[in-house]
Amino acid sequence: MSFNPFARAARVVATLAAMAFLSDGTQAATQGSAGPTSEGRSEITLTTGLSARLTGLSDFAFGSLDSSSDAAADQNLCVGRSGVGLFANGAYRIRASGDGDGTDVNAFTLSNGIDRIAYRVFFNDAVGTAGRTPLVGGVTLPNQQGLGLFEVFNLLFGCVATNANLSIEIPVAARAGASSGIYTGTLTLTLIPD
Amino acid sequence: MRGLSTFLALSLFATTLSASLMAVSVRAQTIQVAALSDIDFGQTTPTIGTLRRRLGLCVAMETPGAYRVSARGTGPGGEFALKGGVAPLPFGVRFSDRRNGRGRVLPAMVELAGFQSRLPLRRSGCRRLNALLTISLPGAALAAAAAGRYSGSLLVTVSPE
Repeated sequence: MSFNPFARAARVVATLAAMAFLSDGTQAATQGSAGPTSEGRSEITLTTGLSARLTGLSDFAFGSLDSSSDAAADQNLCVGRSGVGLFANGAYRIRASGDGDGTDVNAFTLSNGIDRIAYRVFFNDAVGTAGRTPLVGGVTLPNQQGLGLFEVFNLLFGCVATNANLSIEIPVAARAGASSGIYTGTLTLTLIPD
Repeated sequence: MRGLSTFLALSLFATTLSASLMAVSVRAQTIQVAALSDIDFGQTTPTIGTLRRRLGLCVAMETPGAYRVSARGTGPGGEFALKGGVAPLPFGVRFSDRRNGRGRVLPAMVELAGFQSRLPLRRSGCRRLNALLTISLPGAALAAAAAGRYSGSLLVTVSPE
């Protein structure tokens, strides 16, 4: 009986390859054999990651500010995410950043090109402002929660069910000494599903 | 009395012989399902619609004609579901006896009749695709699924009618 070292090496390689394949937890498709009944098998695989979608945002327009009282406005938002059961609570984090100032690039500020006015931002993981949490520019707010049903629908279809609130306050004190003019700024929100 | 018992014994023998002959004369039709391959949806993100993959099959019969199809998955109780996350990820299955047909919904563990194959079974096996399996993953189920890798098996059984 002749010994072919190459054939043996090929078998070893094939065996190792098969072991590596099976260790992945998957099997190759199998064909049915001819008989009174025949059964074939197919393996199905997919990999899914987390997706998030923040919708329902609109611009804040305060108009002409009254110099004797704080200005405030809020809007309800739609937080959407994947990876949560419809009747479970889906946790997420939120981070906001503004246009910055001389010491903090994420500070919440408005500018008229000459002066800056600081404003405050609050986030609530429910509609309305009751129970809201103040945000710090560039700092992530953890442990926000939403019902999975609304979160999944908001992810798939856009703003279907408002489930969060964003509110802004411009204190009178922040406007002290600021020159007159039109102040504008951009607030960027980042939604991170857990 | 002895004559009667002999008669009964002979009758019983004749009946047994007849039944044996009948059993021998009816040979089961042979069928084969082949050309299955694995389905990899790859890296997916939830969408509004449904993710679908189609898989061409070959169903050949010794004597071409009607056949039945059933399928089961590796989810609980044979349901069509992939494992991997916190909860099983369900999927749907349709079967068509044409290469490009939409076919019929195939519930798990339910045998459907009335499919046709015109492909004769050869020694060389199935030679062309004449059936179609469609696997669908609803976007809502995908959106509700925890992140991760999911896998499962689909077993398809065919039998002559």
